[in-house]
Order: sequence, then C-alpha cells, then structure tokens
Amino acid sequence: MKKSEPYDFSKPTRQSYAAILIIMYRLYKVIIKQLIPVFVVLLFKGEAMKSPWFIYSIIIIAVIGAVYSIIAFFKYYFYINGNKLVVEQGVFKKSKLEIPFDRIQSVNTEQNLIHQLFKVVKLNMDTAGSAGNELQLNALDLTLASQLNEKILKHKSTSNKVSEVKATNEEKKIIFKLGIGQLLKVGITENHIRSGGVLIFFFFYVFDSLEDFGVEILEKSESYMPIAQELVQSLIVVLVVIILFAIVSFLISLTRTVLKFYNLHMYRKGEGFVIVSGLFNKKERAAKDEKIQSIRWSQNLLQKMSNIYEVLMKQAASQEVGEVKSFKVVGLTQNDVRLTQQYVFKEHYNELNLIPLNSINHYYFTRRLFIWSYIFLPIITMFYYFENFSGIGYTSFLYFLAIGSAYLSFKKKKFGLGNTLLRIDGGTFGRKSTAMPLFKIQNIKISETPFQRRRKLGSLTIYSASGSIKIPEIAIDMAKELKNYLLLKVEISKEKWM
Amino acid sequence: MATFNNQINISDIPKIQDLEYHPLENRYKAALYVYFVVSTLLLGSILAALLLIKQIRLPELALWIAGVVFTIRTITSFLKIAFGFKFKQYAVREKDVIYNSGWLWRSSTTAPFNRVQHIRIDQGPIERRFNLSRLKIFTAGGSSSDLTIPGLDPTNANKLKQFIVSKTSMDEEE
Repeated sequence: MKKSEPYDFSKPTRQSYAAILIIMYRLYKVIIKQLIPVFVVLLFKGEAMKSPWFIYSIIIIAVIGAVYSIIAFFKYYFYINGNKLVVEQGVFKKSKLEIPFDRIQSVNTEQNLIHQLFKVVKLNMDTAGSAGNELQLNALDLTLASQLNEKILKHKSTSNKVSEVKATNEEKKIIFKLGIGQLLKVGITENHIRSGGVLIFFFFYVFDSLEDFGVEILEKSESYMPIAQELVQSLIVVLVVIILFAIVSFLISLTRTVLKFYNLHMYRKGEGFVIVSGLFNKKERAAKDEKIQSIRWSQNLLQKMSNIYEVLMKQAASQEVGEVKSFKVVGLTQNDVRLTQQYVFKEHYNELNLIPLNSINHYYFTRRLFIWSYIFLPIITMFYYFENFSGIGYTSFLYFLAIGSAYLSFKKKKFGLGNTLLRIDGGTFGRKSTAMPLFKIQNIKISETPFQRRRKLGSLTIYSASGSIKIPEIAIDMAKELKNYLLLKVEISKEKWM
Repeated sequence: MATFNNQINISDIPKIQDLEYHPLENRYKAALYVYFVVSTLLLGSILAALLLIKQIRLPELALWIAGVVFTIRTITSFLKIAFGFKFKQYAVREKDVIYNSGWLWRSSTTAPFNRVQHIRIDQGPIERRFNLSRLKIFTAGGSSSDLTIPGLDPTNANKLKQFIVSKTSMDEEE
C-alpha cells in the first residue's frame, strides 16, 4: 500500500473523473444492447443506413448520453459521517444512502480496462441487509480506495471481535495460484457443450429478432436455394458445419476462461478468502468463512482426465433476501482442494473423509429406464415400421445414451451424514461432491410422489441459505429418521449460520 | 457447545411421525372451493372468448390443447380440494413448526425456530370473507422453502406468530 497524506473523508468527495467515462460506457452499453435488433434489421434492409437521419439520431442519442453521464457524475458524492458512509446521487430524483460501517461485510474491488487505464478501481460494498442496499463506487483513485477500505476495516476491528484485528495485520497467505499453462489446461477442459449452447442461443436470438422486425430469412435465402440444396444433401457440408461449430464453441469457451480466470489466485485474509482474477476485467472478491454455506468440488470428464478440480464456494449474500453469491475457482489440484476444505470446515475437516457414503435406492435408475423406454421404444418401432434404418440407428443411440447416463448418475449418487457435516456426491460423466456443515441447514422437506409411495420411498430436500440439496429416492422411514436427526442437530446448535 | 458433540442415541431423537397434527379450519375448504369456482370461471371465459370472438383465429390444434389442459386442470384442482384437504395439517413443537400437504404428491416441511427470519400474516380477499388468515414463515432457505400455513383462524394465526416470535427472540438472547 502506498503511503500518502491521509484523506479527509468527512468532506463530500466526488469520484475520480474517470467515473464519467465509466458511467458513459455503462449507459451506452445498455442503449446498444436495447438497439441491437434494430441495427441487425437495418443492416438487412440496407437503405436506411445511408439516410442522414440515421446518423443524426445516433449522434443525438450519444450526446444526450454524454450529458447525462456528466450530470450524474457531478451529482454523485460520498462522505463519511461519524460511523456511516453516505452517498448522495441522482439526476432526476435525488437519493441519499447511508450505510453504517458495521453493516459492511466486505469490500470487493473490480477493474475493467477503463479502470486499469486510469488507475482507478470500482468498490463494491457487500452489506448485510435488504436488497438495494448494496453500494458501489464506480471509480476511485487507487490510493483513495485503499484508504477508504482501511478506514472501514479499522473501524470494524475496534468495534468488533479480535479476529478482525488479525484481519488487518495478518500477512496474505497464498493458497492457490493459477499459472499460464494451467490456465490453458482449464480452458481446454471447459464444458464446451455449454459454449455451443450459447452459440446456438445467440443464433436463434438474432434469427428471432430479425423475424420480429419482419425480415424473412427463409425468403431471402430461397434465391440461393438451388445451389444450396445440392450442397446440403452432401454429407461433407454437414460435417464441415459440425466441425466448425465444435471449433467455434471450443474457441469461445477457451477465450472466456482465459479472460475470466487470467492470473487467478486465492489467498487467506483474516477469516476468509480473497479471490483475484481477470484479464480485462480484474476482480478482487472476498469470501468470509462464516458466510460460506456449502462448498462443491467437481471434475467434468475432461478435467478428470487431466486431474484438475473446480471448486465452488456458495455464500449467502445477505441475511434478509437470501440472494446467493458463489465463488468459482478453477484448475486446482487435489491438494489445493483439500487445503480449501480445511480452511472452510476447520476442525470438522477430518470428518469429511470419514463420513460413510450410502447409495440411494435403485428405483432412481429403474424409473428413468421406464420413462426413457416409454419415450424411445415407440419411436424406434415406428422407424422400424417405416423401414427407416438410419432413424433406428440415431434413436437407439440416443436411447442408450439416456439409459447409460441415468445408470452412471445413479451409481455416482451417494450421500453421507456425519456428526457435523453433510456430504452429497453425484455426477454423470464427471463427478461432483458437495459438503456443508449441519448447522447451516435452514429447513428440511420430505416429499413423496405416488409412485414412490408404492415402494415406500421418498426424497429429502435440505435447504440452506445458498440453495438446496436433494437426496432422492431413499426409504421413507430412513428419510424421516434423517430429518429428525438433522433437525435435532440444527435445533441444538448455537453456532451462527452467518 | 458441550451439547454439540455428544453422541446421540437414535431412539432419543424426537420423532416427527409420532406427532398429533392440527387440521386447518374447515371453512378453509369452502374458501378453496370458492377460489376454485372463481378461477375456473375466469379461465373458462377466456377460453370461450377465444372460441367465440371471430377476429381471433387460432389454429384448431391450439384450441384442442387449450381445451384439454383446461379440463384436466379443472378436474385435478377439484379433486385436490376434495381429497387433498385432509392432508393439509400442521404441528408446532418446542423448537420447530411442521406443515404437511399434498394429496398424491405429498410433502412435509419443517422450519426450526432458530432459523426463522421473520413471520407475516396474510389475508386475501376470499380469505377475508371467510375470516381466515395465512401464516408465512420465512427462513433464509429461499422462497421455495418458505413455510406457509393457510386456513388459520386469525386469532390462532396471531397466537402462533406471537409464540414463534417469542421463541426466536429467546434464541437470540442466549
């Protein structure tokens, strides 16, 4: 931290001038997002682009946006009043937001390209309270930001517990750092199917908005049809499209990963983790141990082969709203995962690997087998009747894929309850495990479908402040016993779940 | 925290299934029927409008699907009230509150008092006619897990609320 004159925060302060650019950038982003369909349509129609009115309206919108941003900047200031951080803002409607330091739980920073260029940061104050009380300072000089941060922390340490004092003095202890090689490995082992989905979604989005504006793609493409028809029929085109699609999906997920997780490192600070990452958009986020509700470590098929893990720390954002925030860390070795678990579960960590894991009832698989058979067998029979053998081939492949994944996910689904921890394993091609301390449980539900009732089965859903965990298809008596046990654990616990 | 790590004898754990559950007020069933009639009439008139107004031309298939969905919904929601009502019940224990519901698809939700965030008493227009209240108990488990006990007598609802509030505040003082 740079040493400089201590700044007097009690006088109203504006943000750094870079904030004008940032407000403008965000405003333009919103406007452009709204107008994308219009632009796409105009591109197709052609003539409208040339009209001077088109250029005039763009200029007018841009100027209004710029003026608005400048006014917004000058109307926005913050100061410290006693133990409160006060923010006054508003162009058309004035608002004043007061946040007592006690309620600020952590201060997260973020730097996108503009921030990095002007050496400013965005501060996000995480507060315990109802929604809308989240506070953001768009752009603050680095030194000013660190002074403000320190002031908040210092206040907390004098008023709060001893652990907070440690927070300011203690050295950073690096737990995990992602090197460039590892980063590429993470990018390559990403779930590319998901990026493919995004690609398809984007395609349909453009397609859809074109149709909304009356551009008929099919009509347009009809003129090319005679040539296209011949081509489409040839298998090569289909293959090329599939390969192109795969390459583009792969590139998308690779770039996304690299942008998001560049220079990822995680270290301990006080009673929590700090996670830093990002190339163009640098983020520094704090996750406090007590706020972490559950932790999930997982590997997809590719990650399993290259032996790296992904960890998701789920945190309850605010006590009132139950909004969930989670922190994802990628490219960890098994040792890194263990270290993280040790920090999260502390003295209960040893139990994690001792918990005996139980399988669920095989009916979980049987039911899926029946459902898929009801869907696929008639289709296959139909294809057989019409002597469409490639149809039989495709549907049988899908049928076996569905059954196979149902079987795998049944085999991998395991649950275990310990004295202080709860653990659920699962996954289809990869594997994932979730663990959570029992005292973080909020409430519990047993549910029972008519099909389950015939077999004396039921499902147990365990709710926490960061989402729910379901143990499906277990004996109903066992579900009830587990529920009683868990309730007892929750009800006698004196530990704060947050 | 001495009580936390002690070994527990399975037979000592309080059992939910041995509880005596309270049914909801009987007039809540009547209220449900009224609600059923009102919503069916409303949906039915929309469907009729689609059929009768000539300016709106929908494909026949869509109308068929809408008709079938409407019929199934009407029958099942009637049966749900007729047969499912008796499964709606609640129980209050020293440290938690339990609500059961469902006719074919049954569920039983339990919220421990030391996790309750806040409690609200609601009354819709039909419920007001029947002098009924519903008690909503919020935990941090998310909206899908919030526990709602409908069909309570307002005085009962108030008593229950007071009881739970006293329990939660007691918990905080400890």
